[in-house]
Amino acid sequence: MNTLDRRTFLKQSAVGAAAVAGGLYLGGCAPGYNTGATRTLNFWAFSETRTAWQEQAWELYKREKRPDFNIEFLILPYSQMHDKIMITAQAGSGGPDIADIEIGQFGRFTKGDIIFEELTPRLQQMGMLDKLYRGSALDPWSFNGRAYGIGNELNTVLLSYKWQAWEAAGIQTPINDWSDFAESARAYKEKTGKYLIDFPFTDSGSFFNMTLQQGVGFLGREGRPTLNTPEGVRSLSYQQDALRDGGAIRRPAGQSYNAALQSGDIASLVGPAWNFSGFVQQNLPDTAGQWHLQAMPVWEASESVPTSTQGGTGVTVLTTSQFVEEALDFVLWEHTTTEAVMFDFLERQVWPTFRPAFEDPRLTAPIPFFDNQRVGELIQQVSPEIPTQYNGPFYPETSAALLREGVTPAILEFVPAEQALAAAQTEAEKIIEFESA
Amino acid sequence: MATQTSARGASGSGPSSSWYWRNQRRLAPYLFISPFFILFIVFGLYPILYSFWLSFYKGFGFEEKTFFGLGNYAYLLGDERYIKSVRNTTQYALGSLFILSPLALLLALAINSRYVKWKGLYKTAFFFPVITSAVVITIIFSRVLDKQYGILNLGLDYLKPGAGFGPFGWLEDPQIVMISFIVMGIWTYTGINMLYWLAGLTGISKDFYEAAEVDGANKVQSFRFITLPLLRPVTLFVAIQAIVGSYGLFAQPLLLTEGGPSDASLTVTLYLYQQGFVYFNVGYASAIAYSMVLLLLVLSIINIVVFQGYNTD
Repeated sequence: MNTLDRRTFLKQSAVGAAAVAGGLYLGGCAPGYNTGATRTLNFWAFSETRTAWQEQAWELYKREKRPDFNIEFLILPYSQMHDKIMITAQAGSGGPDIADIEIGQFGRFTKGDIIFEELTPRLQQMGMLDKLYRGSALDPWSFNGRAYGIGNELNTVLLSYKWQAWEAAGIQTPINDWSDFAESARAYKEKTGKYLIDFPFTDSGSFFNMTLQQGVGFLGREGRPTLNTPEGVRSLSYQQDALRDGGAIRRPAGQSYNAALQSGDIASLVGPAWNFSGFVQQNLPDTAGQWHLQAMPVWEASESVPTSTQGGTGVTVLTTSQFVEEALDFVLWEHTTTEAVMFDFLERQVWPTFRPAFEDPRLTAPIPFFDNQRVGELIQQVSPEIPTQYNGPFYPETSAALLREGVTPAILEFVPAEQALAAAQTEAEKIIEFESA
Repeated sequence: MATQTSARGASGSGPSSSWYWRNQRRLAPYLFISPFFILFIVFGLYPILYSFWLSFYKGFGFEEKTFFGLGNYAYLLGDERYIKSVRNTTQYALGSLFILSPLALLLALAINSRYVKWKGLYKTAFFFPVITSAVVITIIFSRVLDKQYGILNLGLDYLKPGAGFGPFGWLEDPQIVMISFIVMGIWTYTGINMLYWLAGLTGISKDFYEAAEVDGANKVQSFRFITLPLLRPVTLFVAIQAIVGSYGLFAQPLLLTEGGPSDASLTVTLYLYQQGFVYFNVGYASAIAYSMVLLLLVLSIINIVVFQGYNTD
């Protein structure tokens, strides 16, 4: 039997350790960047429903363009994915080449050096800028007039309502302005004991839609908070009045909200396709055929448009990528190719931000879930009026301050709208001043 | 082998003349334990020291920083959100300390009783929530605490129908939202605390109780004068880990309420996360972290003094 002296053991251990470390190093790096024959780009996302259409688009891209690179899709939990992108961008390596960025998260990536490639010049070069509904496609991922991400979800906000319940209560549709809506809500409550609409106190979506349709978002053009505005006060006061006189109810949390929509205790909702089409069809499939859609009521007291845009996720290309050109080519191609964006519509009924795609009759065909209404036609009709919203470094701070100091106290405790919004504005400015002093 | 080494050493030109060869016996232990220390220095010590250094700077991220002195710490003292988060977390810690821990002791006493059978089953059942992920727990409790359909409100209504109270907005009402998290904490951590107490109880010799019984002591007196004093080291451990664990409350409020409504369930770690990762204000986030280090250090010292943790008798 051979003996093993200490020296030989140490030598062999060192060689073994070096081999393992080398293997790990190569194994860790190789698949992410270069496998020799084919370059691999990493695409990080946080939702399977969003990668589903993009994976199909990638297959189509491969068939059409025969690229010499590959894309690997990786799904991570929502917060974790955005946090990891932030950290890897700071580290300068280890992150993805392409990433989905949710609208509420974009702002924090614009602090300091922006880590995403600018898309505007390329889109201009392609002649695609005017072929997009920019309010949903580019504005949410833009800062200082430069677009850093592109979204396929046309988040045109509409009023979705249970048409049989409305008809039975004698509510005439369409309701064109918010004061008529308030009267209808009162009448509906008197006749049925139920509510025409709800207003949430744990998110600021309703407030946002009502103010944005008047041309005011959370931030102004310069990226500063615009919370305490006449438009904001008007919107929040309206919600408070509706709650006080019984025409509206505070939005129940969790399952209770779905149950209220299912039973008709709440007979309408205001939101974009991911809400009226996505969430409702997913959570309330039994309500198929009970919904109709109309444009948002407008404000008599101010200039407003019959829609807004809410939420969304954009695709970005990171500046740390070694394959920026390849990544840009795929990302812009998938958002400006009708056949590609149709995957998203067929997969989860998301209407695209690419205008020419509406020539495809499937987008404007009657939809059984909406009692065979041609929803696409309505979306196509109002989408050109989507107002511009501004994003920026202080979006997270501003939206959080609005909810905390403005919307929640106003809806939950009836703090006067003007006072609540003034507090929210002051709070947001105070935080920003401290952060940027 | 020893002869071979000696022969090489005698020649004067062999490996024994090198520094490594002469010291390798002394170096070997350090070499073998070095992986842990290397990893600890890189991933433990360095971030701890770096974040302390960061707490004196301000700016976005790790690149754009300017020296801010004690500015971040000074701002903490007047930051209403920070104060609110400390208050909320302290409320939770008090719940852990004065509700959860005694409850766990009662359970441990019950399970430790000679009259109870299937002790293993109870221990496993109570321990089960500890190994359940925080995400799963929040999903369960989002159903349990639902205002309209939650089992808690339904149970309360069943116990006292038409009593005129409720249904409670467990996750919606700023006045009671922290109570919901305390309830959640009790469900999750009573089992592990019960095991700590059980470990202490099984370490107490039966002789003490037999001697007390001979002297005429009843059960309450035995508990008061034997069990409690002898559980002092375990009590100290349970109290410190309850406080430290409570101030780390993060996943449940993040997933269930995001700290709302209006910061009513904002915890210190959640606020730290918001500042560091959402607002990218890493200097201030570091200052929050070190303020908690200080607070927990003070609380731990108070505990050690109160429970005479330094006394090894």
